[in-house]
Amino acid sequence: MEKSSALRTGNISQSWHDQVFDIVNIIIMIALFALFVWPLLFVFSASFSDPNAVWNGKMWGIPVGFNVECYKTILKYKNKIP
Amino acid sequence: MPASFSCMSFTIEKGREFMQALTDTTYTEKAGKRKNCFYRLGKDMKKNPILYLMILPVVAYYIIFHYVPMYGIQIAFKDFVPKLGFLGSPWVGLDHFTRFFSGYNFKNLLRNTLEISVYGLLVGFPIPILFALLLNYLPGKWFQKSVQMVSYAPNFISTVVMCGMITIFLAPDTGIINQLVKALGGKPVAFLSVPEFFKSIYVWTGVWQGMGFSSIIYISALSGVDYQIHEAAIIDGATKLQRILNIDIPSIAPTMIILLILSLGSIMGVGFEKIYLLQNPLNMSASDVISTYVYRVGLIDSDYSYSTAIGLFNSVINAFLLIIVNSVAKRFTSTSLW
Repeated sequence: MEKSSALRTGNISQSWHDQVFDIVNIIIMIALFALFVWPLLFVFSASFSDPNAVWNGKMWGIPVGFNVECYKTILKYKNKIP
Repeated sequence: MPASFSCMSFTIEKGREFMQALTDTTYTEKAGKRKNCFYRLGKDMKKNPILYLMILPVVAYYIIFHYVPMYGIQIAFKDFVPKLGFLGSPWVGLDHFTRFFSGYNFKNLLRNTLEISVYGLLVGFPIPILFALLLNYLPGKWFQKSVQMVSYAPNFISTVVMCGMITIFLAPDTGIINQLVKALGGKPVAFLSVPEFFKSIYVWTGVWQGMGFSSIIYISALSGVDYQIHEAAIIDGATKLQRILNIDIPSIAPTMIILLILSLGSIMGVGFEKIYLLQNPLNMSASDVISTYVYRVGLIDSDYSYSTAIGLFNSVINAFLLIIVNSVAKRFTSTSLW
């Protein structure tokens, strides 16, 4: 897919249609990006956070009361991990 | 370059052979002495033994794991007693089918199954296409790539973990969605215990999980569109929206149709795991589908014949749908599976 030089350098100016399209597109994609990342980040941070903070809604994405207790608990169940 | 030369002569030879074979068959067809398919298969096997050796594992897999177990279908028409075995159990004809069709929850099961899958199809089919199209026009390579990578991530979460996440997020008091509702001054809702919400929860979490991954095929189809067409359109003053409507969508239409046929073929087979994991007694009226019913009746209540009959009914409907949709697609669009 080789773009010609005029198109690549943007010498053809965009119409207002295209500018509106781009802006709407970027807004949608930023929203989607957040929608994809945030739940994953939430789960990841929740695993490092103080359980009480998570249950009380204090934790919104960045670990609160950092600890690794849950990982220690998992590793204690040695016979349950095949 | 001897290697490429020999390769070329090899292809020429193959081509000649192919042409020869072509004229052979047309000749025999004309003569009205077309040999039967087994004879031709044997002849072809002698000609290309390696190719047939390569396909052997696949054929063996289908025979062993898909066709041989089909002999168990007979218990749908029998009163299966494990002690007597498949062959020894007495025949009962279509009793299990009539029992299912006249059952008190047949209507509810069928309605839930169809509603969930049609809802899922209406939402889950166009969204990956729209996502791929928008992604394709996103300015900035870096941003485009990162959105794409991030959209794949949910696909790799297993169903069990996904359902755990859904349950935690939607928990009545402590869930993050209800924290948000409370922060905005609303009243917390126990989402998973309200039957009306179940289908939307199921479908939209499915979209969240699958849209990035199912858009891959469209993204690759879009990258195959000849840029010269776009260039000509740009020079003629087409906006991006017009390019999407008049160039991109017609170019990826065959891919869309094939995927639509495939997804319509499984419209009765709503995924078992996720529904079963999200089910609870409170949302049962909206979440009980044929596959979970088969599981409950067949494996928990050990009514093997009855559950086989339901499963068979389901598969037959799916097969018919696939055939119908395929023939419709063949007739109107010239794109079809076979």
